[in-house]
Amino acid sequence: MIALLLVPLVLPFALPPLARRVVDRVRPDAALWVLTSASVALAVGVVACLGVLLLPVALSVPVIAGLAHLIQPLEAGPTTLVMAVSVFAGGALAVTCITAVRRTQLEVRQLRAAHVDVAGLPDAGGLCVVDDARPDAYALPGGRHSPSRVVVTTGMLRALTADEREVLLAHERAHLAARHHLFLAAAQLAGWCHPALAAVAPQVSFAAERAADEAAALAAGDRTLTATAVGHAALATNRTRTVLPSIAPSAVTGPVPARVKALLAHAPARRLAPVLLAFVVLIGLAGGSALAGAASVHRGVEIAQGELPRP
Amino acid sequence: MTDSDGERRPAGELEASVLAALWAAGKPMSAAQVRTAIPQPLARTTVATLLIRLHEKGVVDRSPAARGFLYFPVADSHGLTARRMHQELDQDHDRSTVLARFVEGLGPDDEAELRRLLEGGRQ
Repeated sequence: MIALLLVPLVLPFALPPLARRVVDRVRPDAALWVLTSASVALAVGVVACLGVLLLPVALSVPVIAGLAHLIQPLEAGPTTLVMAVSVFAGGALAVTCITAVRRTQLEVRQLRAAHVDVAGLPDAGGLCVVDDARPDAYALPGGRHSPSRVVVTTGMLRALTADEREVLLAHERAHLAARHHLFLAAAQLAGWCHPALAAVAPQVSFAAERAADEAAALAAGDRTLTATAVGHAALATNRTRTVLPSIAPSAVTGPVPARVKALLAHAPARRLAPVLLAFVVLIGLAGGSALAGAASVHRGVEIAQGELPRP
Repeated sequence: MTDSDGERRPAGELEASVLAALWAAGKPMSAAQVRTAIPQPLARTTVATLLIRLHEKGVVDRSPAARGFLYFPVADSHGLTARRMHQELDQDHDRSTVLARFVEGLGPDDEAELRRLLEGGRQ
């Protein structure tokens, strides 16, 4: 049944509502892992299914059919419908590839520019201070030639009290230590593969911010102080900020009121089991239907090659 | 936070805290002032050592005062000028015209330097 290949294309739509529940209820560091891996797994499923769905139209081209040693046309169901879906899959795959390549290039360019901006700045203990009155702070992940750095403007340092400054630094250090940029990059890449997964990327980014907030609260030993610092940093930040690569987590990403509220509540509990079960079911469904669909197409190809008798 | 807790933090984090405090103050500070401006309770000698290390790294500079030194952060003045130019450019809608006018107004030396930079011959 080639129609099974459509299931992994629809399943990602179940992820955004699940993701919202996860960031509300699960410890942020665990939520970050769960959401990112689910996004990536479903994205792989989407791309794989689009690839297999492309086969009917590709194998209808005589040259390719010859290369695949087909001795009769591939039969995968009602011809018009299968061809329409196949052409659509080809288009979707092309759009995904082009988007991914172009946006990746843009991200890399912005990351390089951000590194060039701070390249000449003195660095103490991984901190770079930019003499700029506009309050801003972000964690700049390291590259091959440049170390990772916490970049803070003087405007931001002056907007906070001494204790709040420590919270801000701890928050940005937590981003770098836990390599949150890799999670953000993975979630973004998945988002380019499917619109529903694009809706999950902001949740992943929120989970990363919450995880860094919790790490900062642990370092400061004071949740209320951390909440105040997050609030003050957000209020201070000028909206006309410099362009940053979107994988460089900044101090004020995500819905700040929700972050402050979460910090003022008790430390988050670990209620993972039901959520993990839902994700395992979701990914299992996607994987299972993708494999079954691919197996049926494979069988169809073998029949068309004359290696298997027509049923 | 106990005294030993402050001392136990990695040296890099303490250096960053001192640098942040100096920038936040916006004026030169003595070692004693720095000690009160950071939240960690550190021994006087620890603060002095941190400031000396930052000075050796070229991150802060100091000037002699009545007792000891006054410390202040080193600004990246070239970078600052470049950022100001970027800010001016960002404020205008027609970036390319502004750039064109800017280049027109450059002297022959500046123009040669700009050409050299654009051709990738960095320093």
